[in-house]
Amino acid sequence: MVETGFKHRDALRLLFILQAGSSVLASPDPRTGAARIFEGEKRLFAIDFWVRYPDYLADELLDFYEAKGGGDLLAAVDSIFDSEEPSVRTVKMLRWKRGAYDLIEDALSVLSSRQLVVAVEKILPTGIRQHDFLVLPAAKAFLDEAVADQPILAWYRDRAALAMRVAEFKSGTVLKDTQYEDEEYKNTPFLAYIPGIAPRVRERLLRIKSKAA
Amino acid sequence: MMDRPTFKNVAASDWKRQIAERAMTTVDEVDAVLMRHAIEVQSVAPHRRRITFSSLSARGHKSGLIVAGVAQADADFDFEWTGLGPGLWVLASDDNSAGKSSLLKILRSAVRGSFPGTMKGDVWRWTANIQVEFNLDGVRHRVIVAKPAGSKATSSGSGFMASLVRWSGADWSVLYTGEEGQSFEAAMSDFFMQELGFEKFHAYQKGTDTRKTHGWASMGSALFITGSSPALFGEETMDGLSTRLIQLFIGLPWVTTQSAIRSSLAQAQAQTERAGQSDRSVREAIAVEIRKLEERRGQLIEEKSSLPDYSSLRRAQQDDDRLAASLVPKLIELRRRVAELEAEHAAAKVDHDERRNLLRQCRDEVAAGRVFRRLRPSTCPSCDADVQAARHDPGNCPLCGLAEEKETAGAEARIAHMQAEEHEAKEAMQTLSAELSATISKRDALAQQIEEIGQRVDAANRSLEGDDRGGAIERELEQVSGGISALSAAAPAEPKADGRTDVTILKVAEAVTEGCYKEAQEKILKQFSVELKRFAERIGVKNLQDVDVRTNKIGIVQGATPTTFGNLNPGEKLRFRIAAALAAVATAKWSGIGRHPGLVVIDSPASEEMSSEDFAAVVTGLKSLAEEEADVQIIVGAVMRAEISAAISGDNLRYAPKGSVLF
Repeated sequence: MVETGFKHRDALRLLFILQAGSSVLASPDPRTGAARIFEGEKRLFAIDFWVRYPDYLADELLDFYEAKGGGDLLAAVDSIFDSEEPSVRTVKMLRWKRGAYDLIEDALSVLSSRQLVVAVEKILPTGIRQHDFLVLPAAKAFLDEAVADQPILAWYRDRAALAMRVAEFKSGTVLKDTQYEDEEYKNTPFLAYIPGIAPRVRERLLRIKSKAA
Repeated sequence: MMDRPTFKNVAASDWKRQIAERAMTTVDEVDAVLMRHAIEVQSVAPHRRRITFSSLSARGHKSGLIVAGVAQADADFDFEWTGLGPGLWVLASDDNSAGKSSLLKILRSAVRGSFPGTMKGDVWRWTANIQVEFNLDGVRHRVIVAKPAGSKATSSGSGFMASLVRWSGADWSVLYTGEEGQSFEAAMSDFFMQELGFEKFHAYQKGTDTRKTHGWASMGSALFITGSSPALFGEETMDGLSTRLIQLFIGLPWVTTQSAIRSSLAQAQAQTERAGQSDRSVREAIAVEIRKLEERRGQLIEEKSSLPDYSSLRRAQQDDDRLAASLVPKLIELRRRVAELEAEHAAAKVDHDERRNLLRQCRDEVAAGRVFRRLRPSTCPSCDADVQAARHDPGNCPLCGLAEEKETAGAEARIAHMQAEEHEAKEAMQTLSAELSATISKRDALAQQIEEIGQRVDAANRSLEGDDRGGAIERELEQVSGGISALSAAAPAEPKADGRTDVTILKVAEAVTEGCYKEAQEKILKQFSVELKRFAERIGVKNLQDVDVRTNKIGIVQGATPTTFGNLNPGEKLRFRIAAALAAVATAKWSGIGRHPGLVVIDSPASEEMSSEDFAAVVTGLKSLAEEEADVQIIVGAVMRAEISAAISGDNLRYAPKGSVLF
């Protein structure tokens, strides 16, 4: 279990993801006044996995780079390794039935108690329940002030944005499938921490960079 | 006639001493040289011994006779001629082949002991018994030969028997008897040489490198004159024999010794020259071989220098092996330590990373906490009920009412503590990293060193595979150097210029010896020349102005023209030969030291040498000479002429008239 002593950090991280990964409602939610919605808890976990595992995100970025190019993507991967993020920034997640998993209730309660995010549930046409998250208008301002007040928190903003470049607005299932493509991720036993893949991705980066050179 | 010469009486000891002094050596060394060359000192002139035939008998059985193409009946023959003594004795016949020469040849064979000698084969075959008696200074001796008539053999078992006996005054003592012709000849030679006091002449023939001795065969034959000959005296001119015989018979002391010295000297010089040449050619040949070997040695040394120093290679290889053996455990230890450090470093890194991570999270949590605390919760996180903030005291949680936890120095302290721990972990990791780097460097360096050692060892192994060539070179070098040493040692030494060689001493001996007789020799030769001229003229040599006999030539001036013996016509040569024999007898008598035995046997010349008329004149000339020389015996075989019968008669003449034979 991730230490619950980091609930504020976790809350902030999730808020950045929810903010970055939310889409605008056709019309504000009458009950909460929320103008944006983040659809799918599975999707949230998937994107959170990429924020919490910089090496897996780097690997996906290299996939994007190799598929579509983009020097900024390569630079971003370079920066991840230059900053030793796989060592410093990784916040490990457990492997559970649907992949990477963590208890986010405390973090969500921090957000919901401050009227930043409201968790809702909806029934999909398939009949499956899906948890979504309404992102309230105060969230954006809060995040901006937070970064202004604590510049070190900008990292979470940027990382959420970078993760969204990889996640795009694909469904949680698609994202999870993508993540299952990594053997280390897929083969992690249940309730074991998903291991890092930094050495492999670093080598891949070097190969790609030498090719690019 | 000149006065008799006087001779220096030089004792043998003085002679040797003179030689030693002049040769700057010792008498012992002179003795050694003389002994080495079998040179006997003959300083004293022996006295003259006389040989005079006293009888001749020959018996046998003639067979196979053919006269005028008609076979004749076999017949015995028995010839005897007795009562011979000093003076002129003539065997004459009207016809040729009446036995004159045969009888004279028997005399010659008896003197030489050589049967059949120059006797005709058929005469020898017919002969069954020969007896020749001669006086040797008045002592009667006989040569008796018996053999089966019809046999020619003189070998043992053939029936041949030859004896030399001496009258003792009471009976005949056998001095020698034997069944072997060669042995008898040797016995007669020994007898006469000893009795007459003759020494063998020694002559050295350079062409064949042989030393020849001339003994009784030559000396005895010199008493017999048969027709022409290239030699004035004797039958041969080789080895200066004629001259030496003259010297012997006319009496020159030291002549034998001198002839021995000269022949030994010639031989020694030739040997020295050959040895020198041989040595020189051997030295040159050896030098050529040494040069070849030295050239080869140079090639080998050059090749060797291009080869690796195998000994050093081996030593270096062994050193490397030892070094590698000592380094490998260290490498293993370093590898183990590197692995250990890598694990420790990895663990330290993990620890550091974890601490960094935790620090990061704490910092982010503090920062996030700050920003979230500015927002006061307005709904219950559980039921979403609104929270009445005004109902609570400021500073208390609007949800639970408890005093809000402020961000206190505790958080900062915690972060500071975590920072310290992170720093500590970083330091530990860095320390391990440094140690790991250093240990890896050491390991790699040591591995590199061991690798290099291995490469050196491999290279040495490859090089040492060529050691066979090096070994082969070493072996060949040893052989070549040994060959050079051996050849150098075997090379004859350069001849010393001042060595006391036999040649040096013999040369001095020759000079000293000549000094002993030279003066006397000149006088004697002068006298001999006078006598020779006198006798030659007496027996018909015409227009003879001068005769000058030297040791090495005979100068004749005839018809005011200088000439030599060799240039005379056959008849004149014969006259000179006869004259020389007589002159030798006369000169011997004059000098008192001559050793001519006083016997001259002359066989009638062939018609191409001298006509019978001329020879008859010679014979009559000889008669008067024989009367002058009272103790000389001259026996002549001649075709009868009126001049001879007028001059010779009685017992001094054995004559076979026409149609008859002497035997």
